[in-house]
Amino acid sequence: MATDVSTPTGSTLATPQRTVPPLRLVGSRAGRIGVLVFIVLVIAVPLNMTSTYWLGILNAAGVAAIAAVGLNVLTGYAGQLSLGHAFFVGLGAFVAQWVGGILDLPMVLWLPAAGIAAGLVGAAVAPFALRLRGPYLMIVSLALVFIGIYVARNLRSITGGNEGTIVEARATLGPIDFEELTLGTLVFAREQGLFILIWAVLGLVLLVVANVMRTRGGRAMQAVRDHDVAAEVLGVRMMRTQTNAFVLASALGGIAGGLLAVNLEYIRPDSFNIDLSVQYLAIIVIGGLASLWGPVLGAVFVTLVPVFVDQFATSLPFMAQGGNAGLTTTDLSLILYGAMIVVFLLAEPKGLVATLGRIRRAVRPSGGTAGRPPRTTHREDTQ
Amino acid sequence: MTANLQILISGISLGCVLALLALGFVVVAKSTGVFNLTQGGFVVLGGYLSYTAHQTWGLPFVLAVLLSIVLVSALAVLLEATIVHRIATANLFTPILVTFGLLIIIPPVAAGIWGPDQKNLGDPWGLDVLRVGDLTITHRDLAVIISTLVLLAAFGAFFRFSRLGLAMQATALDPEAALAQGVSDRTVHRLSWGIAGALGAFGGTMLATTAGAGLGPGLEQYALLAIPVIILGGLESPLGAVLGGLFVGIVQQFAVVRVPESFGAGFYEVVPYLLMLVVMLVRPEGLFGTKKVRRI
Repeated sequence: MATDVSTPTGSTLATPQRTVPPLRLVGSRAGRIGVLVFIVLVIAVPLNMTSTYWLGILNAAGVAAIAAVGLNVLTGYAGQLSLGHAFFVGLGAFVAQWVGGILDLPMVLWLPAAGIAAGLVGAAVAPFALRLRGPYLMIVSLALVFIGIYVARNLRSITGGNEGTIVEARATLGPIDFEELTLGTLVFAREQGLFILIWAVLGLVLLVVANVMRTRGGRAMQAVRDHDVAAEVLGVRMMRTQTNAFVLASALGGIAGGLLAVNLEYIRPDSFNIDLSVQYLAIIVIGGLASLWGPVLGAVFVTLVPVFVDQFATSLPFMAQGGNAGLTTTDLSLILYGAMIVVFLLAEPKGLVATLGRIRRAVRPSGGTAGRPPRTTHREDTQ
Repeated sequence: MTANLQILISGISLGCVLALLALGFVVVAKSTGVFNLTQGGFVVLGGYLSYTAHQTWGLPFVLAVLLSIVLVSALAVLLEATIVHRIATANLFTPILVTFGLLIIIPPVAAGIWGPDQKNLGDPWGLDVLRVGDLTITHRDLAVIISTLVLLAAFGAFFRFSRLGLAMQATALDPEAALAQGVSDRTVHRLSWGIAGALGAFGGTMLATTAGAGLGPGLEQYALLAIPVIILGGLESPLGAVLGGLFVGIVQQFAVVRVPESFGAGFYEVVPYLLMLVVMLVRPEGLFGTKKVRRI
């Protein structure tokens, strides 16, 4: 897996006093093994899972994870609360349908187009949104969602208005059609092909975000989050840093939107409402703010909530059954999201990622450093 | 002319309700520094509790509203005491997210208890109207405007003259100095949540008496309309909340009637947000807000 894209290590060797590890796409041997394992899993999991029901759920979780990784850049790393992520996801979804469905262009064009369109709109909105601090950004982003739904409802030719539209964009990459994957005589289910596509994109997105956060721009975001004025004194240009975070977050939201459109096959403006933004926010809070894998864990967890609610709905006394008054599945899921946000913030502010770390330490008290291959850290230190 | 005056009056009535909703946010933000999103939930509960007390338990309307106000207030104080108080000063994020978590719990709980159908609050005004010349003013609008004025006067007097009100102002101005003077921050925080709950319950009941809209799922969406109002008025200015509410109410009512069809469906719904964006461009701290000086 040759993933080096950075300056050759020779240039770092020339400055022996530097303590920064060499800039590589994947920093350590453990990381490279991790990438390989991820690639193997992305192909092996769908081929060995026969249940299209569970694969569908994992696909939904993967799409949500891509969007949440984006929101995590803005909220977790750059410290800006946003309720407008659903707007960018929706924008990406409709752009994907426009470019891929109505203009009938291939996926290599519509998927980037969804990301770029959302990123551009993000760049246009950022100067307004970022003039303000604290709760104000959240409020402006709330306005984005309402205005976005209004615009989408009235752009009938693309969005189909209130009723929405069937997604005609195809998930094809050259000769490979992810929706009708075949290998020789083997024919795969739609969910299996889409799993490979969605989780491969998620893997790429994680790789990109992990690396952006190690660059100057990424560290500047975290500095602004921790203390904006101090960061500015140290030479971080606040406005530019925050705009970067906003644009990256929006673009990732747009890409997630494009995949969401293909995965759902049918989209309507009202789906991209505040509730969807809430879901993304719940994902990153529950998974763990400002951690790489937090959004992924959170996405799987939050996507499973309505599934389990559905499974147990018949045995819970307070649920709506037949014509009786009571809670619907959506209602109970919302209540659980809300309760989990509160409980996690009070009891485990660093999210599921921290819980996992705690479990690992309990199981293997000397874990952590012992588990890591010693050579990687050693090599960085000696340079 | 008469038509415009007619729109103006319904606008003022809507604005009064928005002002009540916005004040609930401002009271808590000013004295505890928390941007309390749970306010939207108080609105929903207030409307439904008034319904239950009046229609199911058969209390007279005024008593039913009072009971609902007391109950929602108590719930607000309870939430503050058990959950919000310990994270109120944590950082900017945690309180917003926690109150947000509480907000998204309440509407589905209400939908579970009271069901998904529209309810008729059975307000005493019904469709009665007062005629002044060519103008027709519904009794409901009159009642909303008058009761809002009374409430605002009481509100002002409380902050201006009562000991607790002054203590709340002192805490808002300088929490540590107020603490040193013997003002309990715990009491002040709980009291401000109690007041916010009361305002929310009253505002929610008034919202639910609107002809046509009524009491049903989605009431919290109306409570979200108070948010642009706060931005217009400034997050920490009670006067701004009232004037901002009136302004948004009147403009929105004119948009409902006067904006041509070519603007597309549902334009009036985004009017408050568009107004807010314009104000934020010109004066980011709101029309009546104060610019914060920050120290390193």
